Amino acid sequence: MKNELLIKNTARLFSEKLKVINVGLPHFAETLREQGIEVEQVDWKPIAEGDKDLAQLLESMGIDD
Amino acid sequence: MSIDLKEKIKVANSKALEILVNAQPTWVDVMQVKEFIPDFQENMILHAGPPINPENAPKPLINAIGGAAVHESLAKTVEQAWAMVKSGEILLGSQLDYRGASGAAYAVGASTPVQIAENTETGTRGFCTFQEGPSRNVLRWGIYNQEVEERLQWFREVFGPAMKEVIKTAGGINLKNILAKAIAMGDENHSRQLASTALLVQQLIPAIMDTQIPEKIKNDVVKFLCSAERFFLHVFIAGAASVMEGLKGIEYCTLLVGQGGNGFDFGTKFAFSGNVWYTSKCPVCTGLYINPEWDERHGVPYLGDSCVVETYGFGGNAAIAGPMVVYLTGGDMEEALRRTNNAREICIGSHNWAIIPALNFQGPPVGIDLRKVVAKGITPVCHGGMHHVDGGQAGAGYMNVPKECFEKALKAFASKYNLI
Repeated sequence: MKNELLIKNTARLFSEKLKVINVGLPHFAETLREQGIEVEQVDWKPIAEGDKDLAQLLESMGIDD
Repeated sequence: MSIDLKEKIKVANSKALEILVNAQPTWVDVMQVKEFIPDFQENMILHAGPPINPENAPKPLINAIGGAAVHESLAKTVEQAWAMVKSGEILLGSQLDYRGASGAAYAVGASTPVQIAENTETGTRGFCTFQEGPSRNVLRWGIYNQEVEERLQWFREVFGPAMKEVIKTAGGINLKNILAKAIAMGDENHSRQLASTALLVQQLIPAIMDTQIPEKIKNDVVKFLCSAERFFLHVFIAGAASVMEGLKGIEYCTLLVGQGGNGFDFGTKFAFSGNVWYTSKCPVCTGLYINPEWDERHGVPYLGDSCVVETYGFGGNAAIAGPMVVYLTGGDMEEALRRTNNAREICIGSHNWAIIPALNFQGPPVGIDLRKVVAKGITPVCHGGMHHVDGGQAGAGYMNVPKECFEKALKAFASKYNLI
């Protein structure tokens, strides 16, 4: 049952017009736009650009967002 | 413990934000450097940016420091002055360590007249030199020659004493009123202050008329002020520095309170550690060059402390208020909006008294928080002019403050408050 739903949804993905939300690296969004696909870009980066030590300090300090 | 720390930071930053938004930066006096700085040594020259190893100084900074030294009669030539700097006979210091901020490369000595601003809400003061007007030959762009020397002498002997009298007669000039009007007139107030200077001169001229200064001097002063469309910049630098002095030393406060470049290193200061520097290699501005054959090889890395205005919420933070600045340095409206929006991501408040029509009457973001900069990977944008490697202005544009400055400060904060 689960598999049938998955196959059905996957088929829809390729038969309907795509609307994409791209999170993070904007290059992926640009590539899709070049192919005429509608893309909403969401700017996102991992906290402290992935530096675990800095992220840990920030966790202790909070950033009031 | 960390909940307690978070609360302490929040309280400290709220206090700092209150100082920032309620500040009343006011031009209150003109003094010589040695009058403003107690025990100022006669053989000392104060320059832009963090302290520098003389071996690393670019030519415009050498010219500015050497020129200031010759003006003070410490040496006969710039070359001789620089040899005295290297031998230690002439001492160097950073203006940002003495409650001042340098407009571009302008270096000061004991007798340099400076504009004194005071945040009358806190009583803290800051200083900056007079802006030197429209000539290409100015100390602030790292040029020292006969024309520059003659103007420096006129500042010291005539213009400075006259402006002291004018400011006294005016009862001080409130800069906040000017900033509030000018931001809706196209001034982001770092690289453009056309409206601000006009509004300032509008207040200065009646005071000039009311003084007992000789007519010839009145004429010369008015003509100079009307020729110097960027005159307000240096007044505002003093004003922003006076506000930032009130934030230095607030325990647990994570806000940026000072920044500047010496053409080699870029330095930042934060409230929690007062006058401690956090430095990084200084970047060259991105922008437009005056000569189309010039490129980044001709530009000196950021040189000047005028970016103190960004710590106070103007310049890059207010880019959308001055889109002509962004356009004339190679950007567009979208880029201007991006700069202001990015500043909002890393600031803790906004100047709601300085409304920007194009931003649906919001004010520019203020209070750059090192935690947000490091967490989000968004660094402040500072507008500014570029020095040519041989001296003079090369162009104008913007620079992103190096994130290394903020990372170093974050670690210092963590160390000071026992997080590591």
